[in-house]
Formats: sequence, C-alpha cells, structure tokens
Amino acid sequence: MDNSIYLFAAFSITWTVIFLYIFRLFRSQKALNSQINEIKKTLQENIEMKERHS
Amino acid sequence: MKRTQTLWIPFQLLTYVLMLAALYAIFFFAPVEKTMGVIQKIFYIHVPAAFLAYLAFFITFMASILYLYRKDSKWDTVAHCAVETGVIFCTIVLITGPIWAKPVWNVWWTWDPRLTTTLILWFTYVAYLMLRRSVKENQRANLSAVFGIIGFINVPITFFSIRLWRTIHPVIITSRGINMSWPMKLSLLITFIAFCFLFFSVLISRIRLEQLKMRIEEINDTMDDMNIGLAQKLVKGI
Amino acid sequence: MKFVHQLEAIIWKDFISEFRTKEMILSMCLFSFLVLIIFNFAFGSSINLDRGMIAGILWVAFVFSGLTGLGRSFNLERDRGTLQGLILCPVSPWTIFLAKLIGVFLFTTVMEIFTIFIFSVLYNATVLPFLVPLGLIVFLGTLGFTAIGTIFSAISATAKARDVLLSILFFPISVPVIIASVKSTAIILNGKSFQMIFPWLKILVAFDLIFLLVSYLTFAYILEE
Repeated sequence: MDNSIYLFAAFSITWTVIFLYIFRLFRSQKALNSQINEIKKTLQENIEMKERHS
Repeated sequence: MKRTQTLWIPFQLLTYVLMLAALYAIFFFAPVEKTMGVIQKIFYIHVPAAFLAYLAFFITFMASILYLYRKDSKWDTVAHCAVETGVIFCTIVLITGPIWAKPVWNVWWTWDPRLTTTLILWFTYVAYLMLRRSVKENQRANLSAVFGIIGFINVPITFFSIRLWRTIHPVIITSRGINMSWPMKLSLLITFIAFCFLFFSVLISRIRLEQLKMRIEEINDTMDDMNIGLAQKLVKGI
Repeated sequence: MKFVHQLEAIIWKDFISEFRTKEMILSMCLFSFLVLIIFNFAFGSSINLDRGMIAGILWVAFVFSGLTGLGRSFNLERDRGTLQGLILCPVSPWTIFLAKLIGVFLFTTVMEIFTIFIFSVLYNATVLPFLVPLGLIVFLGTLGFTAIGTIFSAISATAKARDVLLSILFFPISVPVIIASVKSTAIILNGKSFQMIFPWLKILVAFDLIFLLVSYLTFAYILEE
C-alpha cells in the first residue's frame, strides 16, 4: 500500500512537533531551576556574611 | 493551590494513557475506510487538532478581554500561552491536511474555505507572537490583548469572504463527507478526548512555566535591591 | 460640537505638516505607479490580461502604497516626540484615532485617484462608465484597510522593527477586505450588473463597522503607557 508512507509521515511529523515543543518547555524548566538554585546559594552566602559581620 | 498540585501528576498520567488508547483505537479498532484506504486515518489527528487550535484562540480572545478589563497579568499569561499552544496545533493541522490531500485528491493544497481560513489564522497568531517580541515590556500586555481580540473577531469574517469567493469559482473538492461507521465514530471520540487532555496538559505546563519565570524575575529584582543595601552595609562596616 | 473641533484641529495639524513638504503624498503616488509597472513585467504581455487579474493588480498597488502612508501616520509622531503631546491633550483616544484615520484616508484617496488614472492607461481598462460603483467599492475598501492600518500603526509605533511589524500584523487581518474589494472591482470592470457585487459590499460594510467599533472600544488601551 503506497499510501501508508503518507500516513506514517503525518503521524511522525505530528509527534515530532509535539515532542519538540515539550522538550523546549522542559529545557526552559531546567534553566529556571538552575536559576533558583543560584538564588538560594546567593541568599545563603549573604546570610552567612551578615552573621559574620554582626 | 495544594489541591491542584496533587491533581497535576495524575492528570498527566491520564493524558499519556489516553493517547496510548487513542493510538490503539486508530490503528486496531477503527476499520480501514473503503475508498481512501489507510491514509484516511490521518483524519483522527487532523480534526481534533483543528478544533483545539480554534479553541486555543478562543481562549486567547476571552483572556485578552479579561486582561483589558481586570488588568491582572495572570490573564495576559493565559492569553500568551494559549497562542503558543494554538500555533502548535494549527501547524499540525496545516501539515496533516496537505499530506492527506496529496494521495487522495492529487493536490497538495486547495483554497478550500476551511483550510485557507486556518492558514490565515496561523499567520494571525504567529503575528501575535512577533508582536510580543517586538514591543516594550510596559506595553506588551495591552497591545497583545488588543491584537488577540482583533485577530479572533477577524476569523468569521475571513471565513465568509473566502467561502463567498470559492462559491463563485468551481471548487475541485466539494465535501469531505466520510461515511462513518460506529467504530470510526468511537475512535474519533477517543482520539478527540485524548487530544483534549494533551492540549490542556501542554497549555497548563506552559502557563506554570511562565508563572515560575515571572516569580523568579521578581525575586531577582528584590535580590538586586537587597544586595545593594547589603553591599553598602558591608562597605560602611570596613 | 467640541468633538468636531478637536477632530478638525488634529486633522488640520497633519494636513499642514504634510503640505509643507508634500513628501508622503508624492512618494505614495510614485510607489503605486511603480507597482503597476512592475506587475506588467511580472505577468508578461499585459494587453490581454483578464479583468479579474488587473483588479487584483490595482488593489495590490492601493494596499502596498497605502501601507507606506499608514506607517508614517504614527511613526512621525513617535520620531518627533509629539505622540506624548497628543496623548496629553484633553482629547478622547478615539478622537485621536478618528483624526488619524481621516487624515490617512484622505491622503490614500488622493493617491488612489491618481493610481486609477495611471491604471486605466497602462492596462487599457475602461473606467469612466463605472465610476460610481467603482468609487463606492474603493471608498468602502479603503476605509476598511486604513482603519485596521491605523490601529496597527499605533500598536507598532513603539516597536523596534515597526514597518515590518505593521505589515505582519496587517496582512492576515486585511484578507476579507482585499478579497471583497478585488472581487467586486473585477465584477464591475467586466461590466456586470451592480447587483452582483451586493454580497461583497455587505462584507465590506460589515468589516468597516466591526473594526470601527473595535477601535472605539480598545484604542485607549493602545495609547496607555
């Protein structure tokens, strides 16, 4: 059945588009999480510095 | 807040299960259509995706109006994320459509009113995203909301004008009438529900991401102020 | 009455600043002339062109040239820094919108009259017997695309790549106007009866009314900082 190749193309493109988008969301989430960790670290350092100086 | 958090993971799991069920239904439960053959199964993706694309832009329309009315940035976030999700689903419609059309009617594209309106819709919402990238932050929400409203109102007018245009020219493909047996209808229903869940999964994920981004920015801004105060204190202490 | 005076004042201001240089009207007319010529090269020998096709060419010339005028409508205000001054005036935002719209509409109409003249020569189109219905179509169509053009010109005025953004925003939304205007112009130029363009005119009128209403409801938000 020659038409099956079209069916395969349609389904695979659909899945690829959806997964690429979800992957992009996932990467943004990871970047945000690392930003949160940095903030936590900076806050911790600041609190320690403050305690040392008071 | 807590309750929605605990519902979130089961929701996503349910989405995954439903999508698997849909795939099974499409390939093993639904019969192969007589005239078109296997290719007709694209229909199970094409139709729900089209409906959801239009739903997404309707959500944008309502969220834009609510934003202008209430000025709560939450609505701007919803509008913007709905556009992104809508563009994704609209892209799927515009790609699966021609892939279906080529083997069946031997043309990649027809200026069919529905397909053409969907193409214009796609352009409109890509333009929305371009608008958001180009304008300054203080005006971004306002201007996007106005364009979200204009874009959606334009859809019915566009559809009618294209339909009027096409009734004057002879149309190659007159109808997409498919005789649907009940297994086909059931498969369509299952796939439709699965895609709805997928749509809302993606949309809500995107909204949560955006809200997280905004809160981090807020924290960063406060931190900068705090650090300046702190640094000054430290300098004075020397 | 006050409303009309305010309107007049803003329109008059735009007119005077344009008449000092006549820059915009001249470039709009030259550009539409150029578009008409280029389409001749694009389509090869033009003598036997289908009426429908040349109606399309005419409207492409109108719209592309009109866009250059629309782009400048709020751009000049922004560049010269007069936009703030305009917003600070005790004038309702919709008055500003209407004034800008009327100004651009009148300039565009002048350009279109010139274009129709050139068009009838270059493409051997008989226009004179159809002047009234053609005028009606041009009026409604121009009102439609200048209305949305003015809204989007205000929206894109503060953006970085404003002219490109204006075009990107403009074209998807202007599809109904362009289809309706081109089709009805083609019908008229073919000498068919006036009745045949009624459905198209209805679309044009609906479009104009809807977008004038939308601008009334939302223009204040566009000008907000």
